[in-house]
Amino acid sequence: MQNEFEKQVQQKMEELKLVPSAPVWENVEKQIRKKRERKRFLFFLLPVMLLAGAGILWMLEQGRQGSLQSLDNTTIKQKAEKNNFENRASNPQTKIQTPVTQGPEKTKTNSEIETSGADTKKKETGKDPFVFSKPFNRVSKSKIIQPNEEGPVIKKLSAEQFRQPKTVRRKENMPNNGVAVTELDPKNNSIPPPVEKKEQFQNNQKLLPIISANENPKEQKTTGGVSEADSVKKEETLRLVKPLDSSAGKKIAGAGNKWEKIFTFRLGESMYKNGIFSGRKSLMDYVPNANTGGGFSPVYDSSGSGKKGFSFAIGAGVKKNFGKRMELTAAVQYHYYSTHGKVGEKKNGDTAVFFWGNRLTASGFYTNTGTKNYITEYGIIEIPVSFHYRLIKKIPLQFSAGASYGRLLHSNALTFDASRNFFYYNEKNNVKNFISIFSSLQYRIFTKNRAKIVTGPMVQFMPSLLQRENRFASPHLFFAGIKTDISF
Amino acid sequence: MTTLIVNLLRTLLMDHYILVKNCLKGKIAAQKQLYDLFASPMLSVCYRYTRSITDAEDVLQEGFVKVFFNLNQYQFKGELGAWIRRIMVTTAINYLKRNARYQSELVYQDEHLHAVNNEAHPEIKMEAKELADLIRQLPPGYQTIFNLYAVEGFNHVEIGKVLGIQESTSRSQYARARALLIQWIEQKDKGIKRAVYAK
Repeated sequence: MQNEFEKQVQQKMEELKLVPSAPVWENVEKQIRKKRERKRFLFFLLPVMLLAGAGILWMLEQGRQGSLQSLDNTTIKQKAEKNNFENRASNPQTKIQTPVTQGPEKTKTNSEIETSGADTKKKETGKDPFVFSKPFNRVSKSKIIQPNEEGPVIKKLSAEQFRQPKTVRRKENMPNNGVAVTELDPKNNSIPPPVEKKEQFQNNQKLLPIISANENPKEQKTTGGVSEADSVKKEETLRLVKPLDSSAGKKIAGAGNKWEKIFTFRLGESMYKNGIFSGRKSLMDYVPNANTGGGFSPVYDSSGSGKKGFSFAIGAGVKKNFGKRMELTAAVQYHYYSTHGKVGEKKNGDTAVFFWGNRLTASGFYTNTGTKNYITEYGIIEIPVSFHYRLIKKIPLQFSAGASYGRLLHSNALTFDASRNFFYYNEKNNVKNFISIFSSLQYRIFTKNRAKIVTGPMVQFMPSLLQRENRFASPHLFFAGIKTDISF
Repeated sequence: MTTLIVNLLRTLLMDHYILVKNCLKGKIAAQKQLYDLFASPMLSVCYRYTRSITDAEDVLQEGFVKVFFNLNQYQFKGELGAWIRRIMVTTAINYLKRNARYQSELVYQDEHLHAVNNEAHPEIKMEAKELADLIRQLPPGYQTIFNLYAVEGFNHVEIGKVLGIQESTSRSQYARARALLIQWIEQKDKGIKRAVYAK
């Protein structure tokens, strides 16, 4: 308990007023700016690293796909041709009258078209036109031909165009030489005689230095929650500096909440699902059984197709707190999905296909032999709206659920033609608008910083179908990964 | 509900509410305003823990940088000044621990010293600055404990936790510091009396 002496000292110390010199503020300001710049740099580093990582992964995937294709060219090509094209060529019923540029009335079988096209290109380029590192479907688009119309002039693509690889455009101390306002008067410092000081310290020979034990910076935060009745003022001080945990304080703090900016990132894997709880089953999963010699009846191959692929999302949005536990966020993000599937040999040349009763011309197709890896990509712009609920008051763990609207930006997904047993690109078969539902469990980290980071696992399911027509499967996209939101 | 409204109004009516919010937005003008408001009393706090005004200003500078970067933790409960003061005290203690000039003297005795008469409480007639200068001439170990107990109002348990020493050590060191300071104050008072009588 403080007595009269301590009260007098306290009172005197309250009267003490000193004015700091000007450089102090200058140095404070300098340090604030420096720290802010460092924070800003780190903040922008995160998305850049994410993008760079995504780019590297993408490039690696591309490289792997390329090497697989090279291998296929030398070993599997002959087998694929034997299994599919020769059989089809020998069957007169599979002959399709296809107008080609060489002559408006000229009729050829598939095999003739393909063979002649390939031969021509081989002669032109000196290379095998069936070697592709880029899905042809981005280069040309199918065109609907009305039954009564004369066939259109088919756009022919050179082998060089097909062979082009996918490219990614990627792109202190205060000098303190300022005059101290309060100069120490040496006369005032003359009271304690040096002799007394020495005597005092000579008595303290056994003093143990404990400085090293006290150097833990965490001690700064040690306030000591123990309160003794010996000091009323101390209790007040403690209460003032103690972190808020009362409801009133949080209500006050929450009352000033406005919309906060957030940056959202997702990193994980995407795959096809036939339903939330069902196994993998998709268009890509149907490949001919090797035992049937590449017959037309597709059989489900659970061994190697329809594998999950890399997926990421990056976006920005806003967040608002509702009460102590609830939050609502809305954002706009670009979401990239990919899945790995198996197709066969790439066949160059135009061929006629029927889609929804319309006759289309596909500029090339993939056979269904399941010998080559094919990465199906989807680039979707999404508007996710999610609701977050803090499960336990004292633990910064929140459950989130929401839905998002998506619009397809780009895709190279293939359509399967069952009657002819091949895959081709048909832009018209791709669904453009999607609805997704998602859920996540996120933990808030770096709570003491102004930038709040919440991160945790999330799953997303797209109930919308990816393709309009699909006889064998109804693929839905499924994403599982880590979601990170940075708000400030 | 009533509590919420009352607290909300109280918060909004607080002078520092808007100031703190502006500081959090990163407005330099608001930060300068906050600094101007609290720099002088906080320098006095730092002055009591250090040996020179330059060191005190160093602590003040470091403390204010901490204040601005942790202002989001201040939740408008209690006085802003008390919150800043606490940061300054912690910063000053860490500065003493870190600084080589203080390290050699910043030691705390674990043994109980001989009993010191702590019942005496002379009237302090000297000026605030004179008293502060006397406190600053205590050995840093004594000085810190005296400041924490007598001025800041910590108890010995808390001092023990902050400095990483035993409660009993804090008690004995404080008793020693107090006795020494009273002795010096009495000497000073006698000197004043002598000077007055000389006139």
